[in-house]
Amino acid sequence: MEKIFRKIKNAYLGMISLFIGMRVTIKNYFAPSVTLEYPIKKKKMAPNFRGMVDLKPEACVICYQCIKICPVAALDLTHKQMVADGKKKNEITKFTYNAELCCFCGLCDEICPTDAIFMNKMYEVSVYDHNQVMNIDLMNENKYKHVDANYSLAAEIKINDLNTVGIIQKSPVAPVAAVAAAPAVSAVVSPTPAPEAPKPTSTNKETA
Amino acid sequence: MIDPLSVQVRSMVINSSVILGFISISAMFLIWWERKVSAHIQNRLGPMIVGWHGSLQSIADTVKLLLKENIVPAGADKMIWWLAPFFVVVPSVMAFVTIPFARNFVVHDLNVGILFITSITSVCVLGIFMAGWGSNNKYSLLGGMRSAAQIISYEVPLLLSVVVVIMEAGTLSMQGIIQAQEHGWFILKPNLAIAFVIYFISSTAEVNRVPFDIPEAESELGAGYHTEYTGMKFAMFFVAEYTNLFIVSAVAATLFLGGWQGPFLPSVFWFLLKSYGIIFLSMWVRWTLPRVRMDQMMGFAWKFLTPVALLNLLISGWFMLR
Repeated sequence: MEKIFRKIKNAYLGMISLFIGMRVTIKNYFAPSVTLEYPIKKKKMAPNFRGMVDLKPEACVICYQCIKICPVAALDLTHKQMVADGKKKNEITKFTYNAELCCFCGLCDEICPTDAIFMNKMYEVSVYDHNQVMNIDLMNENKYKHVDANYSLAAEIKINDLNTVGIIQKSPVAPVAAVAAAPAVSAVVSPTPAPEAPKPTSTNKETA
Repeated sequence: MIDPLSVQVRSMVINSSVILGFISISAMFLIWWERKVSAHIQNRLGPMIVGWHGSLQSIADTVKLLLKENIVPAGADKMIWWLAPFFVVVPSVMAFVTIPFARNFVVHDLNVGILFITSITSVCVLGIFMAGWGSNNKYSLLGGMRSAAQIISYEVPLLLSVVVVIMEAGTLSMQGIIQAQEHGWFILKPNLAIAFVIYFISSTAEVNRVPFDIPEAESELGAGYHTEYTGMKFAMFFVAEYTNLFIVSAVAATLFLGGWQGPFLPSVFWFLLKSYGIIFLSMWVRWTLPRVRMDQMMGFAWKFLTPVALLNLLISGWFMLR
């Protein structure tokens, strides 16, 4: 008799646990999906993501810091002194990047005094041939077009400029006049906050 | 002058083509739906590329399966191996003969309708065992043997729960059972509600679905009895599986939920709504529960479900005598 009761109890508990499980699954059924339709929709990369090395050619001052710091000698830079309008000027003759050697440490990005060299957000860099990523001419505007057809230097520069992680922002001095100009009455009732220093812009505004 | 034979032949052709079309579309829809339900329950997206939300995925898969090579395993019992898919598909198609889709649409309303369905779908197990035996593969054979044991065991509580409905309706005809539910579905009566639960559990086991999918337990047996089948032969097993799922759900809708009865909308709509509702319940359970062990499953059938079904039968009989 006791055995039968135990059996009935087991069946009852089994049913209850089934209903609890079904409640959990139906909740998840209507919950939004956690996966992404990957090739169609892409996730925004983190602000500090280190992709391929990229260059703003006009910002480079030819200081050779990146060449010196690169632990694997993936970068190659040569320059030549040119005379234009009676002025001496250094011009880059060759600035190449070997992605096969690169260890993506980001030291060149860190050391660059003018933020000319930076790491973009490319992460789909599969190619059919070694040569396609061995000698990338960083001076070329369409340097990664053969790897990713959607590559755009301007977009990558924009994303890089928005990245403020690790950069100490000097908050501009709040204009004193604005505080003084506020009416005294309102200052007592609800002190108007001083115009805030512009916050570092959101770093998530990346192209999908 | 119309020859009566030609009329008969014509109606036969129309009926069979309607049913075959329905079976293939229903199976393709159910495969897609199962994938979507499983994906959403697991917080995934499921098929999304082919058609709206991947709705044409099954068609793409069918085309793929049609183009695939038909590989006969070495040492297979060729005749049995070749015949097995037909033994699985044909009974499930035949069962559609007595399923009442709508008020006026049933291919042939046999006066032993429910008996016909339960007996004809039992033939499926023969095909599954033939597939397991003919494949010359130990996993397939294990799957086939498990399937035979499982389906034969669960047939007992399933039929005992169906008998309760037959007692209540006083007829074996499917249309007659629906007409007997004119003043209230059978599921609303307590003893028939228990019968419905028993029927639902047993039918889940009958169509080899989780938590009773041990004949094709992926993690133990590869794919069970259809491991060695490729191309269209595999597709036949797949279609038969989902057709059987539709049949047991349609029978459940007919026996317990009033079949095509319902207000306002056309009767065929109500029938499909109820059937697919039960199928959704089945899918929901499938993606909730883990697989049970072989001995647990057999013990559950013989030590729990059958006694409960018998007790339910006894109580129903007592209700009727009172």
